[in-house]
Amino acid sequence: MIQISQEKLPFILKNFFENANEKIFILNKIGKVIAMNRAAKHILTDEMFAQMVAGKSNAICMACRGYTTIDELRTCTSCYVANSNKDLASFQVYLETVGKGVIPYSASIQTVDEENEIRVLMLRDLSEHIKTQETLHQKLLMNRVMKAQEDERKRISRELHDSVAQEMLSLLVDIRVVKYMTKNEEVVNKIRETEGTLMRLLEDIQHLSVELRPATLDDLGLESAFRAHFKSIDINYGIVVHFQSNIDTNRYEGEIETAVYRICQEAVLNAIKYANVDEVTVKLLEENNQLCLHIIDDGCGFELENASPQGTGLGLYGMKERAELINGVLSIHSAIDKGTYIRLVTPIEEGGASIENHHC
Amino acid sequence: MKDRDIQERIEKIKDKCHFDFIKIAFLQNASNTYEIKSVYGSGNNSKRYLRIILKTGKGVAGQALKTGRPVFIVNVDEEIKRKNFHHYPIIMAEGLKSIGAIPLYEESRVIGVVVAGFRSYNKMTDELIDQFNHRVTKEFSSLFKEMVKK
Repeated sequence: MIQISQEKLPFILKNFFENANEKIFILNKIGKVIAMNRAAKHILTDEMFAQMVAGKSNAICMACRGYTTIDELRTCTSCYVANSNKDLASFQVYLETVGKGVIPYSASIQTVDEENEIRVLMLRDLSEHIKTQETLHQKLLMNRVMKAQEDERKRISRELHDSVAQEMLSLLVDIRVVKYMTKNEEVVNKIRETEGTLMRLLEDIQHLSVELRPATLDDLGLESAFRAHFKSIDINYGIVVHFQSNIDTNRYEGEIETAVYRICQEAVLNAIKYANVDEVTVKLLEENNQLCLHIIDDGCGFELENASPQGTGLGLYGMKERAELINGVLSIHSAIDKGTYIRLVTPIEEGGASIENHHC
Repeated sequence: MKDRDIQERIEKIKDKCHFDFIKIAFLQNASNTYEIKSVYGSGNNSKRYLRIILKTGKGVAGQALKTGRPVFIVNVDEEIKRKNFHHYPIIMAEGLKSIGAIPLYEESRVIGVVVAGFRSYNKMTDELIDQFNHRVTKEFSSLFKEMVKK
């Protein structure tokens, strides 16, 4: 242990007590606050401070909103102040804090003077720490949810495409055969109607399968999937998507392809929903080991700052999340009546173009 | 039936009922794909409605096709949530606020739909719905067979 001269020690301790960032309360055996440092004062309202100075017992309870146990987030069960023979090296406690509301603190309480039962309660602001952890947790959860969603969509889409649609197709062939087995015009007409209905149903199912997750994306890659998707936008909404691409049949990692496809899908859908336009431009370009996606419309635009979302407000968030997953950078430029320009730049591995897609 | 005839007929309905927009969509049998598409319209802001291939169940026209009954939305903002607007392509494309769709039958089968609407709210009143229905029956009831064969 480093020796400090006996004369200096009280001085250093006093300075530590006064200037420490930790909020320090010194309590006597009945829970009266007999001293507190400057940091501790700052978190109290004037009224609480006055009452504590006045020496009310258990004064800390005015600010305290309970501490965390394994059973409850905030509880007063076996209170750390009332239970005077209890030393807790580290626990989480919630305190009413000036200007911040009820926020969590990391706390420790220990007896420093056994004879007089003097105890020290030290608090450290945990809110930043907890926020960081929550964000991290949320991100991990989001990623898992997105992956699970994508997998499930793929499964159902495959099932529809490979089994339901195939069965219906053979049914359609059967019906066509029946058509040539009779000359009764009434029967032929009825069969023709059924054939038409069945064809529409088959188209609906194929459409559903593609909407869930396009098999083209797994089998043929981004460019084909985009072309098919934009065609369906044309016939569903009458909106023309001008598509330019230089990637040809190049393939990328499954995760990149999925993210780029979904981000583009979301961005174009946003344009359809909110921009009030008849055409959208999409560019997909590979340059300098980067894959760049541009989605441009000259619609009504929106305010990026303090925009009150017209939809769920999750779309843009989801796009950013997906971009981060593939180490991409998503930038959104928009202003009222100036249109919207969304750009995604994502790194691709050297020679990534030759990577076989192991998606299927 | 000549193309001009259909165009004239829907324009007549539009004038009589004072609609801002009208279109007629029916089964395009020529290519054997069984698509239901709009070919004639009037009062349109853009040509988007001509590119749309109708899907049963989707949008006002789709609902009329699916159920075989007329579908009306008197006030678009009150009856459709903003986030679901994109499920109603024609409302979006033409900025309609009050809209109706009447299915067209050939024998017992729905083969098309007439969609009309206003760019202002609450115009599709009950009386107008009756009038619209009546006009559509008058102009088109006898002619579907011919149209489908085309």
